[in-house]
Amino acid sequence: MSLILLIFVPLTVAVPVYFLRRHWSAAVFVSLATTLILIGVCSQAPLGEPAYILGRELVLDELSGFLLIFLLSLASLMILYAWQIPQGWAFIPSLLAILGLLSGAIMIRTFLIAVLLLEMAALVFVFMIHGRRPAPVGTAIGYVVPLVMAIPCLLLVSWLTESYALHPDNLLLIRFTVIALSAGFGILLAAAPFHSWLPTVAEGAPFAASASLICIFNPVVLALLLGVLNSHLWLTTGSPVLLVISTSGLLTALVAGVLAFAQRDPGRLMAYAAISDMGFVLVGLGTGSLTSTTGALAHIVNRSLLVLLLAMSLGTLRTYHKDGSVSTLREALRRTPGSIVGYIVGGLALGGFPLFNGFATRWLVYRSLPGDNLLYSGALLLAGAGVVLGYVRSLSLMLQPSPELKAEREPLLVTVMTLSLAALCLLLGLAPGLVVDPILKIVQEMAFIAGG
Amino acid sequence: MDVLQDIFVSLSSLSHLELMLGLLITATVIIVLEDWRLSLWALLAQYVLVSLLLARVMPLRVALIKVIVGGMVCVILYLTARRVHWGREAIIKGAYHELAPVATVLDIFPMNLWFRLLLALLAAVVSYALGTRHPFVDHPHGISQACYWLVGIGLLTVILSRHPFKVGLGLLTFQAGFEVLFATLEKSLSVAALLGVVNILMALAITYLTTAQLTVIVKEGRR
Repeated sequence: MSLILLIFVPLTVAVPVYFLRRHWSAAVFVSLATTLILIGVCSQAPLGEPAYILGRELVLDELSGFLLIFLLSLASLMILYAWQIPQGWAFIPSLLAILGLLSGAIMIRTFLIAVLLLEMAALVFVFMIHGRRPAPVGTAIGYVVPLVMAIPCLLLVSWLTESYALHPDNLLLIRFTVIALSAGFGILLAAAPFHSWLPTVAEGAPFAASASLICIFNPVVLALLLGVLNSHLWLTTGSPVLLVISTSGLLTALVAGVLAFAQRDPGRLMAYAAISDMGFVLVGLGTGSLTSTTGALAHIVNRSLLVLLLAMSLGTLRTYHKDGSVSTLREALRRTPGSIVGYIVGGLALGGFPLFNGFATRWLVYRSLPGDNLLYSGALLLAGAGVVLGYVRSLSLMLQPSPELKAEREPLLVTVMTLSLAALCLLLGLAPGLVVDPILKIVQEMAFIAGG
Repeated sequence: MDVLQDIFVSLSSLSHLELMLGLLITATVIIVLEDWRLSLWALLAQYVLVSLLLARVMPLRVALIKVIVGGMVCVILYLTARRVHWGREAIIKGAYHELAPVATVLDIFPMNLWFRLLLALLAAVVSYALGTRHPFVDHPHGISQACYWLVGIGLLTVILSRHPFKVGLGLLTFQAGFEVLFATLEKSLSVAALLGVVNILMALAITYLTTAQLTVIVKEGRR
């Protein structure tokens, strides 16, 4: 029963929250209470005990439980942030609806239904794209079109994998499965060469909306990919799917890292940095060892925290400084201390600068690469350097003199939230075991790792 | 529901060649004509034809779901199109003097009419050849040809359009084409219902984007 609550409560609450939009604090309070209650429900729910909805099995295993609690926590932070820095009237109700649908996608055992729930969640995201100012039309279209193209590929994967179980001697089925899987997941994870939609969205949409796409949607897509690899071991043993994943990861990290350096728009820079990080995750996943997969999953957690930190900082900077420009660093630190610190920490950590959490999990991925693979190591280092340099350059561009400055200081709650997140990133960099150890236990249970 | 079922049964006497011809006309109207009214009627007819085609390979009640969903999608899009004055920017900007008293030929037919017609023709030939030589499924009722045709025209409409409404019609056509294929592989009621919800959500997203563009145009008009 509690598993069904995880799906339907946020979906139901989204409706009154939408009607409460003129009473913003009440809407925030109801939404925040919902996500916190759901975190409680999720942490108390028995692991591995199935529930049924329309004859389909729902299960909360260790991975989905961990992921759900993490996503609900991120959503709580986003709601709290949207209370102080509004992100458009549709942001919070859409976020709740997305959480409900994604919870279903994570827990349901039938891949086909999970994909359809994922598509619904992704379509609800469209309502977040226009914040307080309408985004360019190309932003939304650039998001919807690839999404609608990706989902059929994943639906075909579900049919092809079932067909392979009936005809294991049909090699064409393996080939088609790998193609459909690579195209479908490649588009949704914004892996190169299907990456161009994410920077377009991040440039036009509110930062919190882009963050929800990167921090909440992407981990669920990755969980579904892991689910497919776990349920169909023939994919990892009898097909080149892991090689495709790691090669695509390398290409993604390198292309996005280099392009990140060339970006002037902070939204696009954040998106390219996130895409480059996804490349690291895919390289880790494609390597297929216990260490690399643990590193990849831990990196997804760190990436979500960092992107949220960056999005919060950028959102505040855009609100409190006209065109994101400030006159001097001292002036900026006086008015928006949390956001400036958050932007610097987030940017450096996302590029894998030492001491921060982004470095710690990248190090795991580096270490798990085969010893003689200098190409991979060099390309990944170059990708990280591109992101770090991009952020250094963007900060110097932001510190140009600007005649229009708002007199207000950023809200205290936002300062506390961004500084706390920045501190958490530093803490996880110094003590990476806090994230890595629980994930290591989850990864050890995965069939494709054990089989490999 | 029973009345709808009766109408549906009476229409099911159409041969699969006639259905294919119908799909050829409706999808061509969507890609070639700029007029939103005609495109919307074509989309509604396309949903009915697709359902009639699918009724031959899946249970009638599941095929009926597709008609109902198609009807809902078209109602949502109709209400939106009316709200944005059927995409005629001169009305939206308040520039009534720029508007002809009746819809002109250019309002209905786009400038690159022959190019679009040629593309549609090319897509029809390619769909027929692919559907005949490389069918997705073994069904004899032209399922593969219909799938290739709708997917191809959907993609071309998306590529050739710049307005969210027309892009949306292209996406719905693409989705309909894929559903033709998928319905032959997966016939369960729950999957059909979920695909229906996906279509309705897609229509709502198109509605939202079309209305948002109206806001942008109105603001630009005021400036």
